[in-house]
Amino acid sequence: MDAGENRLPRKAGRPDCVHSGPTCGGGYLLLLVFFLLGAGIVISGWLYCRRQEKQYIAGMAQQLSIIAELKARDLAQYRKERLADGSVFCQNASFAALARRFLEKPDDADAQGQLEAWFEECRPQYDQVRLLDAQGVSRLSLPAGLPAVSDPVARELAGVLRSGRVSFQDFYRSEQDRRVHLGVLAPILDEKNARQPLGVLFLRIDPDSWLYPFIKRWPGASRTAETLLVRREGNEAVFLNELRFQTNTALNLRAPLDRVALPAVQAALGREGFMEGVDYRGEPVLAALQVIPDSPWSLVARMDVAEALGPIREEGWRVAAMIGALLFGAGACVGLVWWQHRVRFYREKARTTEALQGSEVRYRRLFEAAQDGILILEAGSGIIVDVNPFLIGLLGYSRESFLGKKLWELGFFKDIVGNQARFAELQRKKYIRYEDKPLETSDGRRIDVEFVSNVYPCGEEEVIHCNIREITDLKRAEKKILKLNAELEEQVSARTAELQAACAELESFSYSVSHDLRAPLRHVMGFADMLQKDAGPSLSEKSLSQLKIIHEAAERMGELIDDLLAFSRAGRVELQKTGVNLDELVRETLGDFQAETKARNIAWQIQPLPPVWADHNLLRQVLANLISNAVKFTGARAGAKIEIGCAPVTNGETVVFVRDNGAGFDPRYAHKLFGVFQRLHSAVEFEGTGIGLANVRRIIGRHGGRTWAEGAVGGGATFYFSIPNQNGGNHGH
Amino acid sequence: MDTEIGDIRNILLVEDDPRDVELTLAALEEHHLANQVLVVHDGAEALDYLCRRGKFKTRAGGHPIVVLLDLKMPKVNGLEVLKAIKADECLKIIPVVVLSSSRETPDLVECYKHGVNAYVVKPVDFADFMKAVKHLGIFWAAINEPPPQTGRKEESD
Repeated sequence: MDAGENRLPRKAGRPDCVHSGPTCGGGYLLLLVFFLLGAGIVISGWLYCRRQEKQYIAGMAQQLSIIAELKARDLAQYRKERLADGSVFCQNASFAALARRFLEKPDDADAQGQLEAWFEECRPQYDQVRLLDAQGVSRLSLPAGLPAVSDPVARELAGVLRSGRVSFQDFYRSEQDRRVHLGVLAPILDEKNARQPLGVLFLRIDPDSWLYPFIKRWPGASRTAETLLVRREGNEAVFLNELRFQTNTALNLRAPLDRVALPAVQAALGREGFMEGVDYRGEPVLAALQVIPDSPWSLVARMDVAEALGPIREEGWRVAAMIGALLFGAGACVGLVWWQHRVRFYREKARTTEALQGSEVRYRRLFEAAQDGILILEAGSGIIVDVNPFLIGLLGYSRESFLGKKLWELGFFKDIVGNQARFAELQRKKYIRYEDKPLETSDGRRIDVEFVSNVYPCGEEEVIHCNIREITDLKRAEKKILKLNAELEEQVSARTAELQAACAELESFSYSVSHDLRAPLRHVMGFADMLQKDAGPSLSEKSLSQLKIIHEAAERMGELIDDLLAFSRAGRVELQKTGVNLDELVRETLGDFQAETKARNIAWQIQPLPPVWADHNLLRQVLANLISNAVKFTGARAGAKIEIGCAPVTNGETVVFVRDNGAGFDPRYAHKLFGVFQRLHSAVEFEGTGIGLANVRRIIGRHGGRTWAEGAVGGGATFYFSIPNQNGGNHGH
Repeated sequence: MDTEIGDIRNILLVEDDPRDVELTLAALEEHHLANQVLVVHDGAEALDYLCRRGKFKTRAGGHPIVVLLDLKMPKVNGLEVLKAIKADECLKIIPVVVLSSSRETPDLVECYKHGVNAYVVKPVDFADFMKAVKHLGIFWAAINEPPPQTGRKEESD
């Protein structure tokens, strides 16, 4: 393969860039599908999780609230019970009497003994019981010998003495043992002295014994849940119990009220219900708040969000895992589709390439083996990119002298595309064809060629395909044909001229006959008649008879001339063929004979006849001649019979006959019947000029039909003529 | 003058053959029309007469009431005469009857094409001929009303 051959197949490489488009498009589409699918999966998973979480949180809130409520109720009950304990002493007259006796006489051992017995009764609930007088001085205690009451208790004591009502000593830290306590202060009212308080009974409670454990207790297992008690002190919320995750918090841990995210602060502010917030450790928590009635306390039941939402978080992970699996699955599916797409594409491409190569081979063979010269040019530049072996052989130039040249640079094409202007014309018209511009071969011969050039698109470029066919032989033959035609034309015109001369001669002959032969006859008859008229009486019988013979002879001559002229005319007039209704024509023609046949007894048999394609007037002459003959030759018969009909249609022609039972003829002379002036009967027997049947034959002949007759002497005669049908007539005559 | 036909009009017979002239005049004579007939022997003479030229320069009278015209004549033939008459604004109103031996279609067609007023084939049979010419004479001389400018006998005298 050389450079030239490499130019054309370049097309085979092209589809690469063309095909990459659809592949990329498919890839993007699949990617988009994947992203949409993924987004759908993720969004629905997320929505599902959110919904689950909300439901779960609602459940948790309810659970926490129930716990808080129950605890608050129990705490309220606990406070009520403690106050009731106080009331037992406060409104007990005998205890009051006993207390007065002891206070008035501190060394009354009996009274002291009885009081200590009372105190002992309280011991399970209270770690200290002591009796204080109206001045707040501790007079008797269990266990014995206790120091003075703590400051908070002393402050509360004054209020109780004033009001005379049982009061709850809230949580306080004792400055003696540094521990947290609370208690009940019950005034002992003096029945005798207008219920003035004699003193106060202080029942101290150690919260560690029951209260703190109760608060701490959580129904069910939990890692982070706890309940805690707070109260408001000024601008602070004070934690009242020990916490789960921090020690030494009771009355020590405080939070300012502006830390509103803290459930303890919210509780201290008197809020109730469920909240999400951040607890004392900074952990996000869920909390239920409950105010404990008739107390400064508020209860918080809280749980870390981490634990509370643990199960739902787990669920979330499961969902996430599922989403991951789904995403992977979708990705795999899309990938599979894409892969199959690629496989199909490459298979298709391989097949196309194969087909293209096969096609290339076939067309290359065609190009190589063509018996026409072929040139392939770049349409834009006019540079020859390929030339087939036939053209090289035809012109005798080497392959190299073609390739890479522009068409108009090749001398031997100068007549065809001699300059760029003509080449531009070709580019515009896309097609040119010449066969009048010969090429010159390398050895100087001039050969006639047919040069056809087409421009057509090939990929993105245009290619010009030039077909060069040697037509030297064709041209030679053409020239010969033209010459022969010219000669023929000459001969034809010569013959035509001769024919025209002959026709003109015939014409002038007829004209002469009409004028010049008739005139003497007329004179013969005219003067003979005048002679008879003028000299008739003086002439002899014989002379008169001779004059009569002159007259008759001239008359007959006139008839002959007329018939001959009619015969001549029948041969010359132009045929004007139309559809002729034969039935009607026969009826018309018979009408002409009515006068002649009125006196005779003729049996007419007229069959239905088909329409024919003929000259109406001439056909009428034919029928008139034949009917006239039939009438004439049956003249001697008593039972004359004349039949007109048609034979079965054959061979694309209509055959009509006229049959009579008259004198007939000798079949041996049948061939003479249709000749001019031929007669088979003597003038004495039957008058006539012998022109009629010749005229019939001539007219039918001009229609392409035939005429013939059958008959026997004394046995009648049948005359036939045929008329070819309009489209099917073969001229058989 | 015989006044059997009444108003007598002149007839121009153009005929080269003296025998035909004789026969025609004989036929017309039977009805006393012959002496109204002026005979000229060829087409040129006929045109001279009609156009008052040559020897007819000083002739009296107007146009003939009819021209009986033979076709085959020496010099100027009948068809040429017919054409000349019918092409002339003055003469075209004169009725022209062709009297010919010919029944040939081209003759008939040409004559009618050029405006002939009648075409009579001269029969070979003398009796027929007499009859035809007689009818012709009577028709044109007595029955037909001629165009206004044609000369009457009285005026031409």
